[in-house]
Amino acid sequence: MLLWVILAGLTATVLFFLLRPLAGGGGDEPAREAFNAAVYRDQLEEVESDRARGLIPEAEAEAARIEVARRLLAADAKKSGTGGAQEGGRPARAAQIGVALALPLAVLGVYLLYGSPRLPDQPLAARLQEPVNGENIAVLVARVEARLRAHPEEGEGWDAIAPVYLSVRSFSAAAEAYAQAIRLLGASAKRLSGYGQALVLEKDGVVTEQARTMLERALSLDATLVEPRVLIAIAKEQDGEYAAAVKDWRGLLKKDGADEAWRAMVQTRIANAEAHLSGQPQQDGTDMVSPEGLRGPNASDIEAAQTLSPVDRQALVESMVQRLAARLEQGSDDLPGWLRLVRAYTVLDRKDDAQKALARAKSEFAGNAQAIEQLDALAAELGLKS
Amino acid sequence: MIAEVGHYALILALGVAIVQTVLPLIGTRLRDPQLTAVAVPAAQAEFILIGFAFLALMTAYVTSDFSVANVWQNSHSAKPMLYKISGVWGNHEGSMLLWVLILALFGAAVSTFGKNLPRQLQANVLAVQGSIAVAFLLFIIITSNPFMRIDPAPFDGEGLNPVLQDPALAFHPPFLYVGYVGFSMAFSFAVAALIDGRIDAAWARWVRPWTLAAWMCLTLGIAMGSWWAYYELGWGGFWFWDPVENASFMPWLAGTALLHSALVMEKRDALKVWTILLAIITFSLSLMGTFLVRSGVLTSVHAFAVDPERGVFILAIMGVFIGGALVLFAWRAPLLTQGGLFAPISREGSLVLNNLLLTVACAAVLVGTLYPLALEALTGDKISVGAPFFNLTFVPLIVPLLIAMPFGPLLAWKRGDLLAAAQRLTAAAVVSLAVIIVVLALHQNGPWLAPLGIGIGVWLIVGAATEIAYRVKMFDASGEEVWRRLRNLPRAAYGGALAHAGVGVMVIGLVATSAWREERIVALAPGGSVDIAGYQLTFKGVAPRIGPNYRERVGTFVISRGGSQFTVLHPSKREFTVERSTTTESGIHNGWRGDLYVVLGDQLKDGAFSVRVYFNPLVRLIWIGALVMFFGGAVSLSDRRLRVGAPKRARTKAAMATGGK
Repeated sequence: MLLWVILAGLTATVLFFLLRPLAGGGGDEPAREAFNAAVYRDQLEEVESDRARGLIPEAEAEAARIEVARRLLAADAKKSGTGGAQEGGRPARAAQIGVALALPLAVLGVYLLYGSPRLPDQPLAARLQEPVNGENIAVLVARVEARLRAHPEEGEGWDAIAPVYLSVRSFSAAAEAYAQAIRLLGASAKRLSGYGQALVLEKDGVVTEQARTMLERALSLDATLVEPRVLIAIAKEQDGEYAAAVKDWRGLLKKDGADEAWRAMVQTRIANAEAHLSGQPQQDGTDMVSPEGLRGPNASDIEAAQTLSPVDRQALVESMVQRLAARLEQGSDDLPGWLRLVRAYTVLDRKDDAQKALARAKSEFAGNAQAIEQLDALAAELGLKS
Repeated sequence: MIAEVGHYALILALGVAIVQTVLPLIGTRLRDPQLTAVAVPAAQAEFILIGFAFLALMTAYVTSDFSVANVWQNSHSAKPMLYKISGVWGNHEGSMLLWVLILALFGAAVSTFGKNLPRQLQANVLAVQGSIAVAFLLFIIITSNPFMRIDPAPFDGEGLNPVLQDPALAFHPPFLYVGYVGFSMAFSFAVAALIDGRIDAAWARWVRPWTLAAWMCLTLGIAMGSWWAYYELGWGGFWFWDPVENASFMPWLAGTALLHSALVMEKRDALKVWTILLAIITFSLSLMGTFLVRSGVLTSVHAFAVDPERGVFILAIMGVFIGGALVLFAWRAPLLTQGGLFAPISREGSLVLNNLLLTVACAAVLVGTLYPLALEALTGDKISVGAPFFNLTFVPLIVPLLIAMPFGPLLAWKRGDLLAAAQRLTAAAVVSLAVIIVVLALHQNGPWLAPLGIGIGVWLIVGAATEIAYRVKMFDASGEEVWRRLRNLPRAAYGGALAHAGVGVMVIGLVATSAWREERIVALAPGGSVDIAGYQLTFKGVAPRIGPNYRERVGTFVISRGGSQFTVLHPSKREFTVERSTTTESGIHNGWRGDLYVVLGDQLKDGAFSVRVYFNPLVRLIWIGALVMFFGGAVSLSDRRLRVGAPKRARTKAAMATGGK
């Protein structure tokens, strides 16, 4: 409400000043030539004073004086009284009413189009004082952040905020906070483990050397921790040491500390690693590290593929194609997937399968001219009958 | 609520600007004094409203109100206060708001202090100013509104580009904009004269102070930008012929020409039509500068706003104003009377030469700036036109201008004596020659043109001094007489001489640093050292440090000369956590011979750091020269002879009483 009162007051004040000349007399003013004459008189004086001060030679001053005087005479001859004060009347009144009505309406209209009159100002300092309703983690985080900026040497603050960052997936902030907490409060198993996790998650699931060191230090302080063990095993897997990873995981499963979520995840990892060991890689792509389902590219797959023998690589590719085919056969409108499948079959020299996949895809996309066109183009490119 | 009132004030300013454009134009057509008189309060109201909007936005920045989208995008609660404030114009939306604020400021100044102007002219000038404001306010409100809100508001912002978090850059845009927008005054006066179909005798006198003020600020703004590039971009360059720099340099060249041609017009009533055209061209180049930077057609350090929709809008604004003004010029210019004849060898003649060379040089820069854009638009090829092109085109045009410069002020108006002027300059020529010979002797292995360049700089400085000496009869009159003349000499004369000398100082700096710059790029492990230009730098190591919103690695270099240590430099690399980018802070030691400039590079595999060390001889003279030019302009501006008395206004009581109610 107050806002509208202010806006109305502002508009009224502006209109008052704007329209005042329309209500009063315009006054009159000298003709334009009078301004010129004044300038020429000014110039004459200037020439005279320059001459008196000896700044310009006598002859030059005389020439200038004559020239200006000639112009002055011409101007004086033209100027005839005042420019005249015309009576303002009808146009002024029309303008007055027009502006007074149209201006506020138009401005209000544009403001309603672009403005947000309901939103109050929200300066940060005031927002940090607001009571927290329990759900708004962002307020808490902002408060602790503000506190930490003012007192960056308070380890407790870093210690408190680090797990919060981890849970809201701000991994690099979490890593930073853990590092600060460790620096200020000293290393503890919990902090080191959290730091290691944050580092791994920040790198999309790749266990770096730094992360591994932190995790190992955490384990050396508290051997009952589960997360560091899982991650270290993953590190081994990422290094291609599948046997060692499997051994670690089996050891982990024997422990009582591991809860169900972990168990399921670890079991999949074991299956995967064993598949690698037996030359038959995993069945699906859901194998990443994960407290809450860590995602990221399947780094171990790619690494594995690079170190495999040609025969094994062929097997790996075949199995990947298999998976893709299985998914698409169930009826999928994933056009890029189909294109990839057709291309993969051709590369694997399985012309018949490629042909079948192409036909299947075309029936899947019947009626979708664009998709059919793309499929035909691919077929032409690969030399398939379409 | 402050933000919303600010938003409303901005829209209300648009409404007022429309009134400011329409009513006075109708008023001057109908010769209706009441409608005409609306221009004055409208211009004042417009300034107050835009000023309020600007303060509202600044308040949002200072209090970190992240419910304002613009604040959220460009600020961060951890940013130091100076950059929270400069962040207001450190982004596209805010900088456009600053642009119209300055435009409105000039308009308000004309309406408040322009009481000596004929009312018709004043109203037309303000109407043209108002129309520019309408265009830019529409642009801001429709495409670049700084008052858009977010709900719910985020808790922290995305930060300001760290490269822009720098004191010189905080104040570079306001000065640049005062320069750009200041030329709008000359433009509005020119268009008003064309609308009227007449040029008053005092036209040039009215226009010159605004142009001079704009020129001063533009000079300072460009110098600040180059100073910033010098110490922040980390390789010691000060001018890149980057399109964005050219965009500010072209209005400067045209504005310099305008200042000089307005001088002829003021003193001799000549070159009127040309001056009007030059005023239009100067502001058109300012508009083009705004377009180049704001539309994102360029991709360079400065072009941080990229959005084609905006580009088309600004292009339309440019088209309307430049095209409209030129059409008006073609239509009305024949009505303007020519006056004042002069011989080729005269002060006027020299100023025509000045104008000729400056505008052609400006055209060369224009071609070098626009050609790559045109080529890219037509063929898709991306080329860059750099220093070699400008050295071949711009420099040969500017050198004759510099050589001719000291002659101008020594020639008499109307018909001058070149020989006499040359005789007076003999001393300056002798001094310059002596300097050239000494410099040649000191630098025997080239580059050969550099001593000549230094000679030109000296020629300009001594030439400027010669002018003052001649005018006060330094060597012909008694001490008392000289003193009297020194005191009586108009300030404009001192201002002009100072500005010319400033150019000389700058030329010396430019030539010296381009010709004799030294550079070492080395890998230094802590304890290692490198020699340059008689200095010995010892690298002590690198230490981390935490700033308000960044972390940095600070290197320590002990500088000694002749075996004794005399200073320590701390170049650093700053890592801004919020914006996830780094900046280089160079360590600069400022000696009288030049700058020692140290940049800390990345750490190499073996633990050493790559370090770049430069010695830039006399480089500071570039910016000192610009300051001298600015100061010269200020002295000239303070000359009270620039103010013109108005004829007495017969504003009688009777007229007031009978005015329509």
